[in-house]
Formats: sequence, C-alpha cells, structure tokens
Amino acid sequence: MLALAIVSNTMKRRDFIEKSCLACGNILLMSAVASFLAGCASTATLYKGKFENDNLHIPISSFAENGRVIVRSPQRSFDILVLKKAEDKYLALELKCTHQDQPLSVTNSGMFCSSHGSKFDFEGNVIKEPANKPLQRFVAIPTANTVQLTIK
Amino acid sequence: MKRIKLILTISILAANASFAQILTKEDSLNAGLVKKDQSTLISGYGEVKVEYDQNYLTGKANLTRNILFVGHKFTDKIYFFSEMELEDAKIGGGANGEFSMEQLFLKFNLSSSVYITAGLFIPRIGIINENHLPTTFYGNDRPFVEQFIIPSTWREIGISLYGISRRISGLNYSIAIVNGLSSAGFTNGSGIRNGRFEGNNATASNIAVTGALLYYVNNFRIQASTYVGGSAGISKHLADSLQLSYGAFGSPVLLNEINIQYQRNGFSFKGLATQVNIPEAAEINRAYANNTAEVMQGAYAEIGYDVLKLLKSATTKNLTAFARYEWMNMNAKLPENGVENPTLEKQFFVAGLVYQPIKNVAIKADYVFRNTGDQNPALLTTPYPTLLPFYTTTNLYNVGISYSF
Repeated sequence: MLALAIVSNTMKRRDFIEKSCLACGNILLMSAVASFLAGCASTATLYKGKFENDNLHIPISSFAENGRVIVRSPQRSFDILVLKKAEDKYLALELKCTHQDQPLSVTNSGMFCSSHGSKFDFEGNVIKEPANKPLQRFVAIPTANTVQLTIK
Repeated sequence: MKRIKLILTISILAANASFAQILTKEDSLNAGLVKKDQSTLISGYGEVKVEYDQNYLTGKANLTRNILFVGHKFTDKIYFFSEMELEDAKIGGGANGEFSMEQLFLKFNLSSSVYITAGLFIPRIGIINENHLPTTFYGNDRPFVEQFIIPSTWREIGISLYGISRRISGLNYSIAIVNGLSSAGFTNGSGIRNGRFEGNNATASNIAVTGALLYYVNNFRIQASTYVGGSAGISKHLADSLQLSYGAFGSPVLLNEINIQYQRNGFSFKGLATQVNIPEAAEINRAYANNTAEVMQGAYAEIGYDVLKLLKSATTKNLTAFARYEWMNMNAKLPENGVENPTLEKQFFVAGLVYQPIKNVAIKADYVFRNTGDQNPALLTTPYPTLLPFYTTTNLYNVGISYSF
C-alpha cells in the first residue's frame, strides 16, 4: 500500500499492482507452506528462565516431548539448546554460529545458520561450512527433578 | 661486534616471527599473545581460475577475487562487519580490476532471535548473494542465473531486520529498505546489474523494499524472496524531460525468487527460479536507449554427491561430483521499442569435481557448455574484420582454487 501511495501517476498502475500482488503471493505461499510443515513436527520445547549464580534449572518434564529444550534468558544474547542424550546424560550447546556470531535455527536434523548456510549436528560439530569450529558447549547435569545448566 | 650482530639478527627474526603469528584471532589465541576476549577478527576468502575456451583456442588465468574481512564485536549486542574486495588482481595501468567495499554494516542484536543491520549490506535474495564464499558452491563460476538475472553480491545501503520465528521452528524472516537502482545503468546483456550503486553515491530518493522467508525443515532449506524498488532517483524536472515516472517507486523494478536446497549423507540438491519485471521498460528505453527488457527469467537445478562417502564414510575430506543445468532469457518479454537479442536466451550445462582436503579449502575442475540463440545483425556495431566470429555453442574447461577462513 505504501508503494501504491507513493508511486507517481504516470506509471502503469495495473501492471504494478499485478506484479506487487505476485510478490506478496510469493511470500504468503511460503508462509502457508511453512505453517503447514511446522505443524508436522515440533523440534524443541522453549523454556524461559533466569540464571542465578550462572545456574538455571530446567524441569525434567520439559524434555518429555522430544528430548530437546531451547533455553531463552534475558541475561543471554543467544539461546542455548539442551539435549537429552541418555537418562543421565545431557548436552548444552550455544545457538550461536561460530562463523560470524549469528543465531541458529533448530530443526529435526540439526542447527542451521540463516546468514551463510553453516550447519551443525546435535553434538555441535560442523556439518557444513563456512563455520569451521564446533558450537560452544555448557555443562548440563541432571538433578532430582531438574537439569542444572551452568554457563560459567 | 659479531656477538652484537648476532643478537640484533635474532631480535629482528623474533620480532618478525611475533608479527607473523598475529594474523588472525585464532592464531593470536593459540600464541597466547592476546586476551581470550579479543574481539576484532580478520578473515577472508578468495579464488583463482584458469579457463580454456575450446572455440577460440584461448586460455585465461585470473585471480578472480580476494576479500579481506574485518569484524569487531563492541558488545554482545553490537557488532561491526566489513568486507573489502579486490577483483581481477589489480586496478589502474590498463588493468580492469575493481576495488570495492562488498559490505560494511553495524549489527544490533535486539534479542536472541532478532537483529538489525544498518549500512552497506547484501539483502537475502537468492542463494549466492548471502552464501557467496567460493568453498560453499560447486564450480569455478557462481551460477550464471545468479550473476545475470539476480546480480550476485547485490549490496546497497539501507537497514534490515532479521529474525527467527518463535512460533514456527526453523522459520526465518527478513525485511529490508535499501536505496533503489538507476535505470540509466541498465544494460542489454547484463540486465539490472549495472543499475546498482553498491554504496557509491546512491540516489536515495528512490528506494526499494525487499523481504524473504527462509524455512529449515529436516534437511531442506526453502526460501522465497521478493524485491520492489524504484529505478529513477532523479529530479522531477529531469524525470519530466525524460518522460519517466519518478519518486520513491518510480520506474519500478520487481524481482521474485524461490529456491530450495537439500543435503543429506553426501547428496545435495539445489534449485532456484526467478523473474524480473520492469513494467516501464519502454519509457526507460525511450529515455536511455539501453534496450531494457520488460521481463527476464531464469532457473537452475544442481545435484552433487560426495563420492568419498562411498569409500570412507567417516572422512572429513570431500570429493564432490556435480552437475548443473541453467536456463535464462534476458529478453523474455520486450517492450514495443525493444530490439530482440536471441543471444540473451542461454542454456548452460556445468559438470565437474570439487575436492576439499579440509573444510574451507577447495580445488575445483569443471566443464561448461553454453548454448545461446543467434546474433541479431541489427545489434552489431563492431565492423568486420574487428568483429570476432560468434559461436552459439561454447565449451569451456576450468580449474581453480578457492579458500575461506
């Protein structure tokens, strides 16, 4: 609409509207496909919390769905993915691309950087460059009813 | 005296060795010479290509590009990024190289999943624009559709918002406002490419809006992007004289693109389709006589397979055999005052090998077959015998090296 308001009188309005609609349609189609696909599978549970003395406790129940929890804290610039590897073994990875410090997207097949295409597996190893260093790891230890994430 | 000379020599060698060590952040950290929180990073990438043209029986060796990246982290929330590029090894003295800023912007992290960039940056359009490191694409040449239809490394000055959806896992979005193009620079044969400003005194009275949705699901990467912008950032007086529509979106250019990538167990697939619309191409031709097309289209598909996976699945080395087919028509639709140029309908078949002894280093060898339509004699301005024979089919053999760090 902004474009239509600004565009001058002499241009071919119908053509412009037609092509602009095509552009919007492109994006809307993509959104619809994304929404449909997103409904097919959940990749991780989101847990929001605050660290106290570099520690944060995640309820064990958060891992029930698929063993993956994304920890989001206002104290951290990047999310942390905590993975349940076995009953008493957890792994925490910072969702920050080691190439140029961009946030990572989590999928069922690993983590992707939208900026330059780097891909990491669930061990934090580089699967696809340009990144060439593994993801930052943190300590995650199970306690009675929680998993204690330590960022020190 | 000999002892003093010896001490001086050792001192100089030691000093040189120290300077030689502090080349990158990583080297410096390994040497233990700087603090671990050192926040300035130097890196880069580049590529060299040797090409043999079977039609003309000529060869060409070229240092295609070398890029120096300098980044700085001010805080966890504010970063600086820059890429300085030298193309074709040198400028001046009759050389036709180019020295330019490929990117220069500040990045502000708003949250763990949203950030803004401001400055000279490359919006998310196509695959190669954002992912142009030569070790990340197959072949010595970037896909031709992403050179001619979508200009590669298409940077402009503006501001952009990037984010990761909190509701839909794997969905990324971006929207940007940048300066527009100059239709005076549009060229028959290279489309809108020469209409870019690339940060050099751009007209900002015409602007462009571009947006993209990028979705990661399992091993797929699916992206759609769009660009709508004006190409006449000139004064009302001049626009009236040239009979062009002017203003923010005057003499508009629209570009739509969709691409999909898949990668699993050494197999990879990549496909892209794009279309550019210039509804007022006739008016642009009347003003600048540059034979601008109303519609340009292109698409390509590529498959690759890492054959070393068959022999040794755990190896970190990579030997990928690939093949790519590309089609484009840069005058898919001409205005009434356009002159058809059949050479701008092209097909490419590219096949070759990429060997990576380690990540970030690639040795490439490929064959390029190009097929075009015939020349339109009405467009030939070079007199015989200066005019070289034109071949509708071309066979090129390329070898090259590339790196990024």
